[in-house]
Amino acid sequence: MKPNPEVSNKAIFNEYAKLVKEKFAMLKLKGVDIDHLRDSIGATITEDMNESELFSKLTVITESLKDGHSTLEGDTLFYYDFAKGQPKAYDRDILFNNYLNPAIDSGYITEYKDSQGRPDYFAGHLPLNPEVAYIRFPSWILDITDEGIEDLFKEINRYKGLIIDLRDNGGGDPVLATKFAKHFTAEEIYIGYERFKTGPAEGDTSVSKLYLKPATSDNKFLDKPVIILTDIWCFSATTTFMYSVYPLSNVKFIGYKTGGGAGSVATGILANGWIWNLSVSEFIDYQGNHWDNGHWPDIEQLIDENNPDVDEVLERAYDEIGPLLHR
Amino acid sequence: MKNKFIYFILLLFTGFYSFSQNNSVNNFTKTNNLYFTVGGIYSDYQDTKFSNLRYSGLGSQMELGFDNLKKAKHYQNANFSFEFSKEKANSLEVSKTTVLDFNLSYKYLRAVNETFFIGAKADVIGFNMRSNPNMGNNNLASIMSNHLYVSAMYINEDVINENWCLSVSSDLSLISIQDEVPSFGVAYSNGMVVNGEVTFDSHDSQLPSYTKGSFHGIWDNFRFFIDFNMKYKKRLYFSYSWQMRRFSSVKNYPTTIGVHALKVRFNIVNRSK
Repeated sequence: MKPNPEVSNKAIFNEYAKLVKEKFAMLKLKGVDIDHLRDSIGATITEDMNESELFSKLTVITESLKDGHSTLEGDTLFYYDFAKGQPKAYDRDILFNNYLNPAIDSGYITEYKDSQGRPDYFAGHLPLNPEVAYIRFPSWILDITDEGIEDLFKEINRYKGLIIDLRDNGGGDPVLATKFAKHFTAEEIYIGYERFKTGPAEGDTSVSKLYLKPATSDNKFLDKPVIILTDIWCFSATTTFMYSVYPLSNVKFIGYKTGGGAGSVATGILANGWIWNLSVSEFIDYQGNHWDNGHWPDIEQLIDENNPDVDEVLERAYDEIGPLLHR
Repeated sequence: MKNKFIYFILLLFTGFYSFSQNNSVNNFTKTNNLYFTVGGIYSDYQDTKFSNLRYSGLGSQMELGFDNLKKAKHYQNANFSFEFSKEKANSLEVSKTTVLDFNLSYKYLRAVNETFFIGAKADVIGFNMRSNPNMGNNNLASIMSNHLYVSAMYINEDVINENWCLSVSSDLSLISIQDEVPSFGVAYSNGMVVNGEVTFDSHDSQLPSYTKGSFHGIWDNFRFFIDFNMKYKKRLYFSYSWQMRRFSSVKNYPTTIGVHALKVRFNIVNRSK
């Protein structure tokens, strides 16, 4: 075995810089010159720095990756704030006070709860248009069985259109997200590829082509209009769901640019115990678009934060889907 | 549970009674044993794909097996082993890694003479798993591997006196098929990542599989066992074993695992003639 690594400040910095250089899959896409960062920041590292000072030096590298999945955790967690300065396409209070509030006429919306009684997801329809189903997934960690998914799709298939509200959905299980996406296609379609790091050199990569395969279900939601609501917090497994249904002609995105996070994440530990996360793959869709920098919707729509009574993104979705229902 | 414990104690006493009889144990031409082994282990682990940190810790090992020795003819052994240990990096105050290891193997050796046997061993099942809840997406690391070994055994029937028998056996892996999670970075099957077969259709990508495994030779998947066994009369063995494995699914980034074990073996059934 190799000896345990050094834990001097220089050694910790060099260990992290080496990990980023070898494992991070998007140095080129994100425009990161890791050798320059290593040399320039490395020259400022001294052994009399305390932990906090050293941590802040390492996080200059983390920040430069511009990737929400890539984090560094010591006494505190450092992450790239991809939502910083971005306009809002979602406000929880506006949605829940005016549309999903059980105290008002909210149409027919069921709030599904997980096994511990916590809110899980919403499904049903809103008074805005009873011909259009509305479902809201706040994350892709749902307490739902395969039978539950079938029951959900059986229910929404009674409607002529569907709005899926994925705003503020920061991800979860990409396999679950894919399981839902498979209910929107009748045939296998190529959606793009994920490029993984397989070794330390820049060119050490492999490509896995990804296909959306139809679910073996009688309740697939086909040939009807689907609008997906997005905002900057659509991230990770939500991006997986979005790029999976992106090639479908009956699917439109409304809202704001997503946060990205299409790549897969690796976790490890530095010699001093700090825990790192790095994106070790990137996704490129069938048209050559990189989704890790976020994806712009078909129709950009923001909310007016000064108007607490209206969710403009939701209302715009209903305006857009209405004319499509009877085509 | 209580009854089982009593049966176990009775079983132990039956065994002690049997080897307390003062007869020579080694003048048999054929011996069949069904045995149970318990012991303590010290394990070491380092995966340089992620860090040069060395993890080590204590645990236990259990084995259930059958062996058959026909003097000057052959030796065969079927063995199932289970290891459990808790490892941590010595230099860090982080939560411990839980390690589980399952192995089912079959060994067949031919006698060169009365004391020396040579042959082969094959893994039927080989699974090693490490779990550390602090490691985010990489909280589970697992290896599925089957090795084919060249094996040898030496037996000295009167090392101290006629009641004690020494045997030393070793196994060296020549070829293997192996898959592991994680790959160089992501916590998916290395075979699926390298072969471009990652999918989100199921969780298959997160588990190692023989069907996604690749073949390795001794040069890039080294695995070696050595066992020193001291048999006392017919039913009791005291043994020390050491195993080491070192493989590189990515060149120059080896994973190394070492296990020391001190064990006591008890022959539940012993048939000799």
